[in-house]
Amino acid sequence: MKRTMILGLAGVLLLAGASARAQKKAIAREIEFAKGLASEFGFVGLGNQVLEDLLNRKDLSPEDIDRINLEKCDLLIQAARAMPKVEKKIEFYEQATSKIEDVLSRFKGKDIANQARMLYAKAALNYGQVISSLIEEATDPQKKEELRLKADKIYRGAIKACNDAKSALEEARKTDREARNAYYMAWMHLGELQKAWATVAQNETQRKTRLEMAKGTLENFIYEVGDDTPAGAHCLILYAQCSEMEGNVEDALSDFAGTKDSIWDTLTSKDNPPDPNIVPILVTVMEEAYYNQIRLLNKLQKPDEAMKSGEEMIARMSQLRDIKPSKPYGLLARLEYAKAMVASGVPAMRRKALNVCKEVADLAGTSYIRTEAQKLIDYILTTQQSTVALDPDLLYKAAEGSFRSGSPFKALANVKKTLRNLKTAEQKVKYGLKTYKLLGRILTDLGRLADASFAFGTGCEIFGYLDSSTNYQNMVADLAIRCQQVAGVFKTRLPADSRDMIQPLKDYANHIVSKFAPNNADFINLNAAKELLAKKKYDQALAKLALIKQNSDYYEKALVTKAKVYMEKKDYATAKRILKDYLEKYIPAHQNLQGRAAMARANMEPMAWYHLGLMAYKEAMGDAPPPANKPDPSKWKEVLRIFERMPKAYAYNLSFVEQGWYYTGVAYTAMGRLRKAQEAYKNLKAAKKTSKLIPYLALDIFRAHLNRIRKYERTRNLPKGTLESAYKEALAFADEYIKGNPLPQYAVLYESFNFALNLGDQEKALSLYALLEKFYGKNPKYTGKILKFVKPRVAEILQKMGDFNRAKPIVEQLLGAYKKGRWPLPVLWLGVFEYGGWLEVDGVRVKEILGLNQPLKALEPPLELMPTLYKTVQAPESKFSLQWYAIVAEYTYLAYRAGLKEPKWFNEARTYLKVAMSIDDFEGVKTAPYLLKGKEKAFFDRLSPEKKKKRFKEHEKQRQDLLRIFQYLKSKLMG
Amino acid sequence: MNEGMRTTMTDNLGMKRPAFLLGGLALGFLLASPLRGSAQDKDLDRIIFTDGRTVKATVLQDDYDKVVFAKVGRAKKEVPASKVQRILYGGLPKPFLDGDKAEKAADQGAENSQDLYENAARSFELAANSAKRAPVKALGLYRAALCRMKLGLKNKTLLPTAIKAFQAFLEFAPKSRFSLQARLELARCHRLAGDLQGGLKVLDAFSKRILDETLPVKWDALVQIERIRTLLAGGKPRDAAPLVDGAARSLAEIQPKTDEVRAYQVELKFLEGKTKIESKDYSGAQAYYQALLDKSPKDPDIRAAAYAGLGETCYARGMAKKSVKDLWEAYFHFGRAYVLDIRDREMGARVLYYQGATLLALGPLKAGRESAATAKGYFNQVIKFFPMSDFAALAAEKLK
Repeated sequence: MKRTMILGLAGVLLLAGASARAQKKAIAREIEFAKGLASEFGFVGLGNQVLEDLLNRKDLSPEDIDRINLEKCDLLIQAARAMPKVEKKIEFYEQATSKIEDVLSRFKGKDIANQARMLYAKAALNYGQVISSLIEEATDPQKKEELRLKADKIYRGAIKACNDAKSALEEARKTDREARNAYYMAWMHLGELQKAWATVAQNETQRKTRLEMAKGTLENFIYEVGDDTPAGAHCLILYAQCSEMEGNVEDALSDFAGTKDSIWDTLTSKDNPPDPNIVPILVTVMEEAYYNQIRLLNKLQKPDEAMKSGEEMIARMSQLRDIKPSKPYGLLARLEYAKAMVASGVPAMRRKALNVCKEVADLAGTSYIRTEAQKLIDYILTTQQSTVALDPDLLYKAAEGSFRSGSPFKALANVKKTLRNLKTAEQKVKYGLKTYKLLGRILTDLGRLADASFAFGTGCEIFGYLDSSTNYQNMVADLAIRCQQVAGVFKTRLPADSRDMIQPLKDYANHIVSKFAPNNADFINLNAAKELLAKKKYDQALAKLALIKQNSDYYEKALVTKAKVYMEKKDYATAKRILKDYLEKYIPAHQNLQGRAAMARANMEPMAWYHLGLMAYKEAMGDAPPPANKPDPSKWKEVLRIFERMPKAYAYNLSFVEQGWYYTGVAYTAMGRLRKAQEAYKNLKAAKKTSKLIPYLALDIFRAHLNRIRKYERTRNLPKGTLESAYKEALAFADEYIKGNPLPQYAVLYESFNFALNLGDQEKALSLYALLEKFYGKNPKYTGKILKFVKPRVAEILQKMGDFNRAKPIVEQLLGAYKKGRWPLPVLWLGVFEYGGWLEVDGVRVKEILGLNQPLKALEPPLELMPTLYKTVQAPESKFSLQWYAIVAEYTYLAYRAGLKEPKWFNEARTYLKVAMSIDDFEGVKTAPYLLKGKEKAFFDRLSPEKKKKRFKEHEKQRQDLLRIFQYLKSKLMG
Repeated sequence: MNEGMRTTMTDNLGMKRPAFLLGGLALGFLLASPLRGSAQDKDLDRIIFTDGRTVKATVLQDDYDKVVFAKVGRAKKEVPASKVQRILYGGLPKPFLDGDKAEKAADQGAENSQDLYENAARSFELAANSAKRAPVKALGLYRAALCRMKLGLKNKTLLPTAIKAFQAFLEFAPKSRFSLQARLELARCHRLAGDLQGGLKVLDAFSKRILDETLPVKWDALVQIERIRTLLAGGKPRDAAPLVDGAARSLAEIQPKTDEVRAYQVELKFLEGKTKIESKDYSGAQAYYQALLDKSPKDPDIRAAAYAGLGETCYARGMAKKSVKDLWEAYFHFGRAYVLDIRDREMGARVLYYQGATLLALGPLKAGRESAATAKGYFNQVIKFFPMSDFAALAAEKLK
C-alpha cells in the first residue's frame, strides 16, 4: 500500500529537474501517458502498448530503449499488484526483476542503472510482501522456510541495489539536484527495505538487528532532510512502524499522532503558509499518518479512539477546500475509520460506516481499495441486516465487491438481493439493467454461458422499456448484443454434433437482439453473414455483408469477413485485394476512432494481417487453390514478414501473439532455421503456457531435426561430429519440449530414445524409456511398438550395465510375447545373455559375465533358448560363419558354467569346443566369411567402399576376439 | 415450501422469522441492550407485544394459543399468543449461549459447519436438560432438533436422529409456540428420509389438531402443501393432484398476503404441474407450464416457476427417452428460471441442482469437456448457499 505513495514522491522529486532536450521531453511525455493509462485508469495493457509503439520509433538511442524497457517493467509491477491471482503476481514480479537485473548487469555505473536500482527496490518491496503473505498461509514448515529464504534473497538484492545507488550518487549529489533527489530516494527505499527484511528474519535476534538497522537508516535520513519535509515525515511514519513491529505500540501511536498534527500545523500556518504545490504531498503524508494510527488502534481493538481519529481527519480535510482524499492513504484511512465504526457495534455508526465505504468505493477507481470497500459493505450488510436499510446502491456495490474479490457465489446471492430490493421506479431504472449485466458477467466468469446469455436477455426483457432516453436505450442494446455474443461463445465450446441442439438459445438471443437492439441491423447482418459463411453459402453471406454501411461500427468487421468469404471461396486474389486495401488505404484514412469502432479496429487490423499470412502459408504449403496449389517455398518469407511482427505489434491480444509465434516458428522450421524456430517456440510457450499450438509447433520442429538427422545419416563424407551435434541439438529441443508437457508425443520420445542410443548416452536413453512407459506404457495403441522396438534395446542397455535384475522382467516379457521357438534372433540372444551371461574381451583379457548365473535355464527345457539359438545357424550357408562360431562359443561357455553346477555339462561343453576346434584348432574362425542375407546384404551392398572396409575391420576384430574366447574356453575345459 | 419459510417460527400470523436467526438476534439484542441492568433484570424475559409494548417478566407458559407470565411481585397473567410478537428469554444457561454461537457460525457458512451443528445440538440438549423452566427447556429441545435437522439436510443418514429430536421436543411440549412449525419440520424430515407413511402420519395428526383446535388457516395450507410434497416424493402423484385445489383455497384465505404467502402460491402452481410430470404425463405438464407462462407475461416469480417446471418436464422426458434434445431444452429452461428467480429460496436450489444434473446427464461428449466442472459449480452453490434446502443433500451426493 505504501509503494504508490513512494512512487508518487519519487515522481515529484525526480521529475522536478527533468531534462530539457526536446526529444527526451517527447519520449518522457509518451512514457507519462503510458504510466497514466496504467495507474489512473487501470489500463496496464494499453500503457504497455503505448510503450511498445514508442519502441518502434527509429530515433531512439540504446539508452532510450533501455529506459522504455524499464518503464515496461514498472508497468509489469503495476500489473502484478492489480492481479488477483498470486501465481500470476509472482510470474509478473519474476519477469520484472529478471528484466531489471539484465539492465543492471549491462549498465553498471551509468545513470540508467540507478533508475533500474530504484525500480528493483520497488519490485522487491511488492514481491516480498506477496511472499510474506504466502509464508503466513503456508502450513508445511519446509515450504515456509523455502519461501522465507526466497523473500530474504529478494530483499538482500534490493538492499544492495539501494546501497549501490547511494554510492554511485554520493559525489554527484553534491552538485546535481537530480542526483541528490535520486540519492534520497535510494536512502528512503533502503530504510523501508530493511524494515521489510526484518519480517522474514530467521529468529528474534536477527529480526531485532534488522529493525535496529532500519531505524538507524531512517533516523539518519530524517536528520538529513528534516522532519518538516514530506520525505522526512514519511520516514518518521516508517520509523514508527518499526517501533510497532518491536512491540512499542505507544511510541508508534505517539509518532503517528505527532506526524499528522505537525503536518496539520504546517498546512494551517498563517505566518508561514506552505507552497501550494507542496500541499497535496503534505496532505498525502498526513493521511498516511492517520491511516497508520487508525489501523493500529483497530488492531489494538480500540474502536472509540480509532473513530475519534477518523472523525478528526474528516473534519480537518473538510477545512481544506478542493482537496480530495489522497490515493491510497486517504482512502485506506477512511476504510479503517469505517472498520472502527463497524467494530463499535452501534447501529448508527454502522450506517455511517456504510456511507464512508460507499464514498471510498466511488473514489477508488479500479484499484483494489474499491474491492476492499465493497467487501466491507458486504460484511456490514450480511452481519447486521436488521439495522440497515437495504439500499440497492450498497447491495450492488457488495455484489460487485464479492465478484471482484473472487467470491462468485456470494456475488450471485448479492445480485439477487439487489434485484429483490429494487422497489421504486427510479431504483429500477438506475440499477435494473446494471444488475442484470453484473449477473451476466458473473455467470460468464463461472463458465455458465447459456445462463449468462439469459441473464443479459432477461435484463432487457424486464427493464428494457423503463426509460426511452438514448443513453438508457444504448445500455439496453449493449445488453442485447452481449446476450447474443455469449450465446455465440457458448456454441463454440460445445462438441460439433451438439451445436445444432442450442437452437432454442440462439432463437432467444436473436429475438432479444431484434427486439432490443433494432438499430443494430448491421450487427444482425454481420452475424447472419457469419452463419451463412459457416454453412458455405458464400453469395448470400456477401449479400448480407453488402448491407453494412460504411459509417457503421461494424464496417471494418464486415470488410475482413468479406475477405474471409473470398478466401473460403478460394478466390485468394480478391481476398488479398480487399485486405490490402483495408490495411493500406482504409486504416490510414480513418484514424481516431472511438468506442465500439475503436475496439473493432484493435481486432480487425491484426485479423486482416492474420488472413493475409494464412493465405501466404497455404501458398507456401501448396494448399492454396490452383494455380498456386504446389508448394512455393518463396512464400515462407512473406509468412515470416507478417507473423513475426504480430506478437509485438498486437501484444494486447494474446490470440494474435499466440498465432504470431506459432507461424513464425513454422516458417523458420520450413526454412531450415531451426534455432530461430526454437526461439519462436520458447516465446509461444512464454506467451501462453496452455496454448494448443505448442505441441504442433514442437512436432514440426522436431520433425525438422529428424529430417536433418536422416539426411546426415545418408550423407557421405560428413565432417566429423556433425551427426553427433545434430543428435544433441535434437535431444536438447526434445528436452525443452518434454519438460512440463502433460503428454509429450510418442514420436518425439521414441526418436529421442534412438538419438540417445546413437550418442551412447545410456542414462538418457533409460530416462526416455521411463517416459515412454509412463505416458504410453498402458496405451494399447503403443504397447506393441514399445515391446518390439524399445524394450529389446532397453534390456540390452541394462545387461551391458550389468543390471540383470532390472533387465529380467523386460526379457521375460519379451520371451513371453512369442511362442516357444519363434523368438526373433535379438530376443533369443537377450534371453541367453540374461540367464547365462557371456564372455567379453577386454584388451587381451577374457572376462566372464555371469548374467543371472542361471545357465541351465537357457540350456534346458522348458525354454531351451541356447539350443534354439544354435538351430538358427544350422543351414549349410550359415555353418562355419563368424555368427556360427559365436553361437558355438556361447553354447560352450554356458555348458561350461552349467558344468560348474552339474558336472555332466562339462562333457557337453567339451563336445561343442571340439566342434569349434574340428577344423584344425580354430583355423576356421580365421577364415569365417562375413555372411549376410536378404535385407542386410542389400544394405551392405549399398555401402561405400570406405564403410565396407570399416565393416570388414569390425569383422576382423570380432574374429580376433572369438579366437581369444575359444583359447580361454580351451584352457578352462582341457587344461 | 421454500427454504426460508420452512424454518420459520410463528408467533402469530403476521410475524415470521427464520428460526435459526431468531435465537441469534434475540441474544444479540439482549446482550447489546442498553436496558440491561441489574442481575435480576438480566434474568427476566422480555415479552414484546404486537402493539409495541415490552414487558419484563418471567414467562411460565409459552404456547401457541396463550402466554402465561408473572411480573416480579405480581400475580400470574395470561394473554392470547396472537398478541405476543416475540419473547426474548433471559438468564439462559451457558450451554445455550454456546450452542447459539456455534449454530450461528455454521449458518454463516463456516468450513466445519457439520461439526458446529453437532456441537450446537449437543449444547442445546445440555441446556434443555439443565433448564429449570419449562419454556426454556422447550426452547433448548427445539433448537437442538433444528440443528439435528440441519445436519440431516446435508447428510441423509442423520435424518433419523433429527426425527427423534423433534419427537422428543413434541412429547415434552406439544403445545409450545414452536410445536406447529416443528410438526411440519418433522414431516419434512420423514419425507427426506424416504419414509412416506411416517410423514403422512405426522401430517394427519397435525390436521386433526388444526381442526379440533381451530388453528389459523395458514397451518392448514402448509400441511396440505407438505402432504402434496410427501405424496410426490413417495411416487403417488395421482393422490397428490386432488389436494392442490384445497391448498390453494386455504392459501387464498390467508390475510394479509405477505411475500411468503405469495411464495407458497407460486410453489403450489409449480407442484400442480409436477403431479403431471410424476405421472409421466409430459405433454400435459408441458402444456400446463406453457399456459402459466402465457398467462403471466410480467410476473417473474410465476415465470421462473413455469420455466423450472418446463425444465423438469424436459429433464424427466430426456432421461426416460435418453433424448439429448430434451436434455438440452431442459438445461435452457432451467437457465431462464435461474435468472428470473430473484427470491433465492427453494426454487433457486432446485433449479441449480437440476442444471448440474442435466449437464452430468449430457456428459462431456455432448456438453463439452468443461461440463463436469460447471456441473460441480452448480452443486457447490446449492450446498454452500442453500444448506437448508431439500437439494443440499442431493447435491452433496452428486459430488461424491
